[in-house]
Amino acid sequence: MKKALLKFAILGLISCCFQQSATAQFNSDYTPLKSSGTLPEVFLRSPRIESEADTKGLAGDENAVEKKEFITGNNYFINRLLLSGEVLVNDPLTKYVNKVAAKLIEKNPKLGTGSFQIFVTKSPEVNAYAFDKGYIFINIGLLAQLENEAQLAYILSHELIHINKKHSVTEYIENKKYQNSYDQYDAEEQTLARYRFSKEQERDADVEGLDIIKNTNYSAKAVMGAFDVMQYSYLPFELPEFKKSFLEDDYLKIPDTLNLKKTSAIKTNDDYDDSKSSHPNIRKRRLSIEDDVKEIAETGRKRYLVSEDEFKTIREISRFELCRIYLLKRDYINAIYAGYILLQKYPDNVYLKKIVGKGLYNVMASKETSSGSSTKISIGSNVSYSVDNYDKIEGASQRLYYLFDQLSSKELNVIALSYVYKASQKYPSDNVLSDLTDSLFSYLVNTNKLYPDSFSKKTLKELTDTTAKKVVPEPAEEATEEPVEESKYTQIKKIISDTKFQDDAEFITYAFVGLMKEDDFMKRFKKATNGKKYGSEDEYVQSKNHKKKADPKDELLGIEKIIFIDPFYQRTKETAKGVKVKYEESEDQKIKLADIQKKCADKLHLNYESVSNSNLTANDIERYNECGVINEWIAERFKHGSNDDEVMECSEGIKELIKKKGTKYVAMNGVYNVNKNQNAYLFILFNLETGKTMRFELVITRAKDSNDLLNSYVYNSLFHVVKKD
Amino acid sequence: MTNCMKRQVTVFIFFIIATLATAQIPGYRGCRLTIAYNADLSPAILSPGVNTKFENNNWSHDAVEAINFSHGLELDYVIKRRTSLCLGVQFVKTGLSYSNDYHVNDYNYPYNYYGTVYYSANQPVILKSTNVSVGFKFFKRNYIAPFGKYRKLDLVIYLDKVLFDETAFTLDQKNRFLINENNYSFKTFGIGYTVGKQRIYFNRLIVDTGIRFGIIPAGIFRVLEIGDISDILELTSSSSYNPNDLERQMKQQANLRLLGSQLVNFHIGIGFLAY
Repeated sequence: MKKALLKFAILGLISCCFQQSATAQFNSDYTPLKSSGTLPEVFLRSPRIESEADTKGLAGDENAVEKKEFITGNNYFINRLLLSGEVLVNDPLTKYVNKVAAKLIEKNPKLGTGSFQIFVTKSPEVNAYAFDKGYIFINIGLLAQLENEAQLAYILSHELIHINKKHSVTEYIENKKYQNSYDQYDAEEQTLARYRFSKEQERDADVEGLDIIKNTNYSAKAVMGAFDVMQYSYLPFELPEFKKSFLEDDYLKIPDTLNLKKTSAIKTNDDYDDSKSSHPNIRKRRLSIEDDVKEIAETGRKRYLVSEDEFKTIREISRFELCRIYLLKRDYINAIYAGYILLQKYPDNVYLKKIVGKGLYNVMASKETSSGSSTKISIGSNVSYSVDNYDKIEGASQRLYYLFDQLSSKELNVIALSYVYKASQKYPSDNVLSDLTDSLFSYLVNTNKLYPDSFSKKTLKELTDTTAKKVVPEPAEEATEEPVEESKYTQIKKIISDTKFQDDAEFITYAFVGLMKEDDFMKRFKKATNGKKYGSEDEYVQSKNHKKKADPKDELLGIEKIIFIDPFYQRTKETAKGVKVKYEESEDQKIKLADIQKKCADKLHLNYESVSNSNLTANDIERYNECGVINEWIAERFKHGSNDDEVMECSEGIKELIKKKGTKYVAMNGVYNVNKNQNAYLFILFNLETGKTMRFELVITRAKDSNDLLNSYVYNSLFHVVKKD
Repeated sequence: MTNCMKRQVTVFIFFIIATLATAQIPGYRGCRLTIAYNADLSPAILSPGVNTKFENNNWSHDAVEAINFSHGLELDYVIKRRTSLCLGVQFVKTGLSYSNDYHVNDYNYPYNYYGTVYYSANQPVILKSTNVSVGFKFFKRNYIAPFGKYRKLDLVIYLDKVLFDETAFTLDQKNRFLINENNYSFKTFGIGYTVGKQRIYFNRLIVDTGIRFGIIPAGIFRVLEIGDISDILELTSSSSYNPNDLERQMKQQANLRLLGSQLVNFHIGIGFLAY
């Protein structure tokens, strides 16, 4: 008995220590995931060669045309996804999900060992998807929401069934049949029929996925929770109440009127209309396996077969990753809320502080998008950001949406500055926080026109006391003097003065009472104001308003070195039946465009560095990561649209790249060609350091995408990059 | 033009060239100057060609010979992103007219004659014209000169010469009508409008195709029978009582002939990007 107790105690101690060491890695900082090791073979394959091999045996097949189309399209899509930089390689998450998959395959050998590859993608969507070729992609958003390993195992089983039964290709052929029989069905009927078919497949995968679980020792009951994960996937991964004190201090007090008293209840309807959905509704999905689950004896079954601790670590990593992915996807409030949740556990984590700081900054900056936008180069569409309507938000995070909806840019600026400044004081060596603080000071002065004089150095209470003291009647001898009659004008001035005092009583007026006592704070504030005082229009604003800029199309930039990334090229054929992508032709043209780009740069004596994913070898992980960083940056930059005031989440990774490549400019170009005679040529040059769009060209022509046309466009773009005024 | 004016024009041209040459224009991969050989073709429906023969009381020619053909050299220099300055010289040689009778009113040479003079050679009077043009090519939106679709507007000075056999003029188709000259020279001007497309091969070779429309105001007014304006545009005297009346008629024919040959042409050019 004693021995057993001792053993239990030792085990408990070990487990406790292990748990502590597992969470210890998140206490002070977090480093975003990076791919490492050697690249799997699938990353190195050419989609063209692979498609040729995959379609070789199709001769004689009654659906050969559809299958060929599907296989080719799929291979190119997978290739693009793998090389997008969104897919992680040899990271802890991928290793873990593969371990779980191995547990499934071990007990279900008919699934075929080695015929699957599972990858984790940096996407916030709570989703997993599979390709018939044996690839499963699990999103980080899903890993962050799961409750236990068994749920992950069930989701993998579901995807494995899709692969095993070649659901994708079957669905594609079926869809084509509906499409081709447009004389029998109208568009609505076609859509419904397609969804019906898809739902049948999903039901199959749910039911047969459970059979896979049945053969393992995973808890069958636990897998039912996977449906909860899916049903509530739109909610954050945890739902703690948001307290405004998170953003407050002794002096900065957000008024209670901005605190939503009661948040909306979470809807529990799982029997929604699914007629236009590819998946059955959650109730149907639950019901489809409920009886089978009841029949499975739970004895000896566990929620964790690989490791509970590893699962929890993996989930925590996913949540940390999710914070930055939200920022990348311009979902700032979710990023702040996710940061808030994790800061409850890891209050000293600088990474999370930066997430919240950047989130606050960007919500603030996007509230001011309209000002000065005329001076910016538009990159296609002006994708404006606005806080989601809080009425539509359910649960605890609604309070945050309400707060940010109500706050003005000035108020947000003050709140963000207070938060970020304090964080930067706590982590003085962190350059990102320091830079962010300076940017917030600059924004405060230049955009929101708030100067040191705009803030009170005393609290409202202190001020009231002082005023009260002043109102105290003077000594009696003065009272003997003739009383001065209060004229109409004195009264008016008094009313104005009282009103002003009330206006100034906005909570931000007293926000910096504490901080303004700090020398460093005042020094930085004054540096930002550069001697400007309340009411004066600063030079920055003047120049922004009055300086007439040259047409951005004709601007010569005088840049000596740039980074080229792989161009994109898509040739399509539009017919009455739809759009068909010419994959092989597009690939050839892409190579041609890259070549033209380099030759034109040489002709213009423009130095360049390439960041390219083409012709990767297994040891090119560094090149793969570089592409990942730059693609992530560009995708984020596109999300910001015309607003280059927002800060970039990827700025940290990109700094290394700038240093390595010796330039801060990246150029991307591409062509979208329809029916060989209509082209849209795109060229964009970004400043990686500031996020500014230096040049944007979108040229649409009715012409063949011939060599001379491409040369003409590319040379012109680079000419403007390299030439000086 | 006085010497002073000439100097001023020269300085002005130098200034323009110097400004344009140093302007920041992309051209095609940096090349802005094109030297091209051009040919314009149009069917000679109402008028004879250069090889038309008068045989068996009939004008006849082979199908190929019934094409008006003009050819020449052109220099294009890109002066703006979508604009080229074009300088060209073109040569035209064709038959002047199917009509071989001219009305003269001659009192003095060698005897008084009033009536019709016939040109009885077995070839028509030949019209040779050297066209000097200056114009601009305006490339369509989204193209960058010198590549792509364009519209060209040019001003052309026609330096015409009609060549004939002075021994072939007869009176009443029997007796020789004596004249001293065997050619006349004229001058007129016209405006050309071309819709075309330039393609570039091997980053050097330019192929230019299009349709050219040309009008010669003097010819138009002649067609419209507004003689006075036509005379002004042809820069001729209005006297019709002169042995040179023949010259005037040939000039009118030349303008009409040129108008016919310049009205609509298929244009093709081959050139290279010099620098």
